[in-house]
Amino acid sequence: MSRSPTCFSSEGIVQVSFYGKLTDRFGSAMRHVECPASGVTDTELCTLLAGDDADLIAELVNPRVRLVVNSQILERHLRLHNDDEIAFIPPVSGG
Amino acid sequence: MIRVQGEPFDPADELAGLTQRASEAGAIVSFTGVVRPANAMVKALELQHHAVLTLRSVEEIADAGIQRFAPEAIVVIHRHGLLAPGDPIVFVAAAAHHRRVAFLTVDYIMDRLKTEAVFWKREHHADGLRWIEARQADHEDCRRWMMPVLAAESEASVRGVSTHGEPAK
Repeated sequence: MSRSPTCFSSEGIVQVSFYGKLTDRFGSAMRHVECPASGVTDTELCTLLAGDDADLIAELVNPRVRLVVNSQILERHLRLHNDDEIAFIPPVSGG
Repeated sequence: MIRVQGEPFDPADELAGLTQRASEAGAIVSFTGVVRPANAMVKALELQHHAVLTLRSVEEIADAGIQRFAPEAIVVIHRHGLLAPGDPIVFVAAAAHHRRVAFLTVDYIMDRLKTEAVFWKREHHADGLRWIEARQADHEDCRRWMMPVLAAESEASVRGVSTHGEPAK
């Protein structure tokens, strides 16, 4: 299923897309969170998304879950900027 | 031709199209995967996809097949969205001068699609939804293309393909 682009807006609202089982964990395919206008690290974003749910944070930082920024799968430990398109993708099922 | 689409497709039409385009080919092999109808509990199969990564993954797998076996032409079509049992879900076809290249190309692309294509699948059961992962057998099928013996056999077959048994067309 297609979805609209995900991004940091100028107001510092983050939209992040989820796929696979993560869709169920978050109850939707997309989540909006407030963040500093200067952006956040990916680790900070995980905390913003999961709040104090330690299990959910663990799922997001699991190395098997990949971080996608602007349609590129990137290694963790980076800073996310305004207008970046962000997604968390669990291991794929294949076709 | 590579497509990832939500709309249904007709495998017969796709095969006819390839046959028309690959008029110089001496062999055309096609594979159609359908949503398995055997389990009456599964009402539908949903394929979630990423608007960019999914097509890219399918294109990379198809390109690898072309690079490795050098067929004359290929077609790869994959559905996403909600599919019913019996619906065609994937179609892979290859046209080549000789059958070995066509068989190997389709086999290779399908094995890699089954494990590496960027889809997340879940079954719609009467009592709820269930995410599914690639089967162990699918991973083993894919790994065999990395094994030296099989790789050597495959490449040798392609390089040294004989012309007997297949009359010129």
